[in-house]
Amino acid sequence: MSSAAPTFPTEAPSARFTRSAGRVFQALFQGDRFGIAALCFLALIVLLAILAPLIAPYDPVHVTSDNLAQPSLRHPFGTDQFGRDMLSRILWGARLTLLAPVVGIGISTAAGVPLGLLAGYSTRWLSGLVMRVMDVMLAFPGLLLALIVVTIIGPGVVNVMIAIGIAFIPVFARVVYGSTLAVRAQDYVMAARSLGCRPSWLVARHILPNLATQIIVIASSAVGWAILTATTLNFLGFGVKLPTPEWGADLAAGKDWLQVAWWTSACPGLAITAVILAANYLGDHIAAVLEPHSHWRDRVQQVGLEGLE
Amino acid sequence: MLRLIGRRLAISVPVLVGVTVLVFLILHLIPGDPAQIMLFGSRPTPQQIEQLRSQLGLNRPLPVQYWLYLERVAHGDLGQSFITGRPILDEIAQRLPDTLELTLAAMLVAVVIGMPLGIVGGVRPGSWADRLGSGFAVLGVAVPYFWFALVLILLFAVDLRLLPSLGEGSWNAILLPALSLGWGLSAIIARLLRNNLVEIYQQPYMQVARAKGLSERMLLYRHALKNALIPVVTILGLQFGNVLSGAVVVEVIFGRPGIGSYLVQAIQAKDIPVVQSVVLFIAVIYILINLLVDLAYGVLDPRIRLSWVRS
Repeated sequence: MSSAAPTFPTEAPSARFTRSAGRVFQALFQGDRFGIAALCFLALIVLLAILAPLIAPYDPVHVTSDNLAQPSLRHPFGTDQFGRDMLSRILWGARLTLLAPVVGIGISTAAGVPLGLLAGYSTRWLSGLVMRVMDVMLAFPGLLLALIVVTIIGPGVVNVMIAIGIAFIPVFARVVYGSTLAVRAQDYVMAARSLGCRPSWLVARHILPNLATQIIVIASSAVGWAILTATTLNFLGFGVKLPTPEWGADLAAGKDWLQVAWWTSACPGLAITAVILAANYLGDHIAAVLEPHSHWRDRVQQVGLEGLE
Repeated sequence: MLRLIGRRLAISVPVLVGVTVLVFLILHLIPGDPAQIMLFGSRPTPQQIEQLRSQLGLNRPLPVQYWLYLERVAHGDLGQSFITGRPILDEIAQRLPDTLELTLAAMLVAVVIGMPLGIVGGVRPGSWADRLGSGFAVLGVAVPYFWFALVLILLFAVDLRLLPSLGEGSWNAILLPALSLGWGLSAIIARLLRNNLVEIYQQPYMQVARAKGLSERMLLYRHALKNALIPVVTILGLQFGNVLSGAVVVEVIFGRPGIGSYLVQAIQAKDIPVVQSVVLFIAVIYILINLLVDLAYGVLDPRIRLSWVRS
């Protein structure tokens, strides 16, 4: 923009978006040291997961006679009961372990946000119906809801993602619903309405953009929970089929060798812990950057998403 | 007061009805013929399928079926397990105490560990004890409880041989499961209580109390803690469901015969009536606990009671 003439923003909206996205990206690398460290750590894990075929020292599913070998130079994380290299399994396993929660949260966002908007900006009857269904879903603890979904659609890698997605829909719907009510009472929404704006346009142009940061914050706060739930479902045997490497399933397999080979459970266990820890720090950090003054951010940090009203 | 309880109950009833609808629908949402799903694995003859269909009313319209289901549940008839053939209600009645014992023990562990940590950190924010507590709180939420359970087994049962790792019966068999299940919640309690206390210590009424010459002890117990504990009670209620469903996993690990391990077996075996019943039980318990917590609120905090009266 030139600084001489009196200026109005003349950029295209897309350029404005890119710029603000760039600014947010910059802000993510400032401030909280732990948050930045978490961001870098997760980026590294994602990179390792992508590069697994190139950097994994062994084939993660290749059975050898060198079973339950202690951690050594040849096998830094030891080998499991079938002589498979644990380091390679961790590297390969990162793929599904991280993909499941991300896709799951994507599903809950894609379904929960429109439901919340619909409930917040439609007839009282429809809104009541949607929110009562959400209330019923919230009457089940998250893990139980995911287990119900797995019962219905059966076990499997993709089904675990769907289960996590469905289990988290009501949280998104409820938060978006509450915020939609708050935003629609604003003067500029009233103004747009009195100008004859169609409801769909109003929601898309005036309400949704104002909820964007909040939705990102919930989604990023939910990732830690989603990793835990996904690995739990895999731990219980409702996810991947062995020998596919996945941390939760590997942890369950290592459980049987606890007395003779602690590393078969400790490696996936530590990996899950580290990733959840980083995801939680990153979630807090993203919230601090995007919504520095909101009071419900503190609530999410203190009591988790279930404490949201 | 009674009217308020009645109003709160009236909110729970539609949710309860909705829960029964959802639980009823589990069987019908599974792709395929319900009768065949229910006879899964037994290679049923067409006659058997037809018999089951008429027995369960599967030929009738869905709303009628729902009503019949509700009637059966109301009479305490949850059906029979397809695998064992035993009445589900008996099975649950036998296993439920075990799960409730574990859940309550876990919540006790959470309070016993979480409260002192939270108080120490909240009274002296920034001290080394506070930092230690905060570090613990962060780890507590991040370490998956199913791995923590394994670490505990390895440490106390395998290496030190202090505690039994499996089964139940002796008094100390509950210790490891309760610790692994309760530790995440203890971290949440510690963090919440600490932050509440820090905030309360900055309130004017605390300064007045201090100016009057009250001892630090009195300040804490009389003025600060009472107020700081109310949100903790809420969290105990909200998290009860998480602990209860976490018991599912912990029971499997420690081989405890509660309703959690029953549920997992049933899902694996596609024993749908068992899944339906256990899920229904857990949801109803969860709803009741939250109802109790909401009512306990009013007892604990006069301000909330007052706002009830006004609304």
